[in-house]
Amino acid sequence: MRLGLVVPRYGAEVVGGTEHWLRLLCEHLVAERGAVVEVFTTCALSAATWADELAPGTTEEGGVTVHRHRSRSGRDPRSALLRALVSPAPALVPEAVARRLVELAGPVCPEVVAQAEASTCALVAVTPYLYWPSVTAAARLGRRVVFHGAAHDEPELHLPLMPAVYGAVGGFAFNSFAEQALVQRCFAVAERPCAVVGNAVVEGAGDPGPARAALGLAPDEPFVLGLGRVERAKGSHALAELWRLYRSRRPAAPRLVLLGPVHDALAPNADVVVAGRTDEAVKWGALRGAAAVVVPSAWESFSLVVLEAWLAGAPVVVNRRCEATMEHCRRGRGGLWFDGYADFEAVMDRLLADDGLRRDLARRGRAYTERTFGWPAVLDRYQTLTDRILASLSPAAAPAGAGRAG
Amino acid sequence: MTPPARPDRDDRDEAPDLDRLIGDVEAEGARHRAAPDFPHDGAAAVGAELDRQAPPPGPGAGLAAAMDEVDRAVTSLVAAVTDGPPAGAGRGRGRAGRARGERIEHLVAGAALALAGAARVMAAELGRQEGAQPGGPAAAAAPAAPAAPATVAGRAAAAWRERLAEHLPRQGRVLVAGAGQAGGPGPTTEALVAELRAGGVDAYGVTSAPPLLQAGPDVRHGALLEHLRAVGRGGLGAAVVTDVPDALTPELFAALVPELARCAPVVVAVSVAPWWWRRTLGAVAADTAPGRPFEPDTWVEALTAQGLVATAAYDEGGRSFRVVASTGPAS
Repeated sequence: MRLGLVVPRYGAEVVGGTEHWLRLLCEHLVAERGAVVEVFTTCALSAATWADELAPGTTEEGGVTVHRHRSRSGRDPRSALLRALVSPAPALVPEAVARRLVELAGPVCPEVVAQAEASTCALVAVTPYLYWPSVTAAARLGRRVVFHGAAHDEPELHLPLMPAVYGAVGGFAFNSFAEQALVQRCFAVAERPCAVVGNAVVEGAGDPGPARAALGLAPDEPFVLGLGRVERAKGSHALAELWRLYRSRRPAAPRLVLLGPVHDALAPNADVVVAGRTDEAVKWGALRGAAAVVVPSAWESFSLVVLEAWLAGAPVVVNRRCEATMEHCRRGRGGLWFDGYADFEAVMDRLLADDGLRRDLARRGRAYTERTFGWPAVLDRYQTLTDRILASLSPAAAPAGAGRAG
Repeated sequence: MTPPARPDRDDRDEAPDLDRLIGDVEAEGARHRAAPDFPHDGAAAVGAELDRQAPPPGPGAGLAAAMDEVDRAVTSLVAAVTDGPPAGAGRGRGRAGRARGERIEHLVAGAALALAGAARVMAAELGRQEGAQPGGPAAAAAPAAPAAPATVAGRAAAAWRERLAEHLPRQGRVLVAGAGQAGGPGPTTEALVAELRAGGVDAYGVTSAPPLLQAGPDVRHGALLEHLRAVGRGGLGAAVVTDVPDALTPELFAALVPELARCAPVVVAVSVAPWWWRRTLGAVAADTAPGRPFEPDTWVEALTAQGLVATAAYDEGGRSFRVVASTGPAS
């Protein structure tokens, strides 16, 4: 089958959960299931600006055909102001204001949507739900869309134009049962084909020793790790505050290392190492060397970090307000959670004092990850979903099994 | 009754001590919080940072909440206008004056949005009231009637499965709910969905079995009523409920039937073996009081009250029954 993908940015250089995941999915569908995949995207690399950084035109990347177009406009700084204005009651703003917010957030690139619409792709994956290309593609491509919304409970999801976006598409690939429940709570789309596909997770190479050296730690220094974009919205600043307070009461506790590109400045101090972006070997070495990995974000639709930590043998601690990471912890039984400082202190006291508990949690999490999020299982789930969407487009003409994504 | 074993269930069977561990940790956290040296100020600051990351949801669709938002926005705007220097004062010009002007512009926009939101809530409420009148917009939005389903009578208990597809329209998704729950004698939801799909029907299922991350028939975990409430009006081609007739409480039955009628122009309710349920559940549960859906007539009456045309039939041995209802005339 020929599958399309509409995504605001694409490429190996792109740092971003859903974009990264969709690129891997496309490459694996091509390599392992014989699919033909075309990507329709902009020249952007950064979600902060959507500035055109890559050359426009058609290229072949990892077996996937990629069409890039220049954007008419990127992210307008006024989008932050308007977002703040609509956030108190997003469901109640006039639809024109909601559309203005989507335009200002960008990237506005009609060519991406037009090319996807004119393509011969039977189905077109679209991700994530909140940007201009997705909002526009859902309306134009309708039931041909496999929607990878990557939704979490943020103001944009409640904008008055979102029921039409979610109501237009052919089916949904959810990252978690929590995302499915959220979407079906917000929109009357429960009858549409859908599946909790999740993301595939593969263990990488990297040793703790070189990682410690790269991070500026002593050779055997214990540490706790926060992995991912350093950004207030991701909870990095909350975690730094939690750790500063924790170390003030537990001076012997290890330091916290924040590893990932810094989007919102966060000053390092005696308690927190802000390491910035590193390569994959350092990342995996850090995961293997960490006493625990803390994922403080309240808004995740999947969280690769939780599963990567388990593969590397580290237990995780997550924010109780995040349904997706809580779901992994409950299902995988490989992590604990906190809802405020008192819980956090009790959880860290318990984890850092008990090697056996840390090993046991990580072992269970690893087993869950391997069983549920290996590539064969994920590709099977995805193909089953695309079968269902195709069948629902024409039930009589396309019984189950016809036109698989592979 | 023991639910049938599920060989493919996930790892909730193992390591059941996580809940206890979390309980222990939460109790420990409460002890820390109550200790005299607990840093309440620091914890409050961290709590504020966590709240800032994920603020509580804004006002819902209620008019009172929307008007509260208007009050807040207008109060902030008035404060910004009246707290600054008076118009024409020299200190109000320059960079500080421009910043104040931008802040007031921001607040004007916020107040306007809050007012627009309140107006939308009022318009929606008026629309609901108009739609509730006979012949109002809600009536006009009723789904188109599909072809009338045939009544299949005088067949053995297993026949309803073979001929189920006859009742189902070829357009729209078909929801299969409740089959095979609680160890009942009917087919499992998965099996029935797979069977219908193999026959070219775009079927999917809802079951209360644990959620599974596996490829296979399109069967979701969850409560049927909750699922139906997340389906749009006329969003289904048909709804098939099997075994459900045997397990409903009167309250659930009363809530379920209107939702079925709202979502699907064709509703098929099948009780594979009411005799089995009567024997298993005992005399109390097997009573035939109004609202207890062990009897097909109860379903016919309830679905008819929702504007559907319903017919009921037992198989020739009188052991299983089905009720078929649709927006068109029964044949």
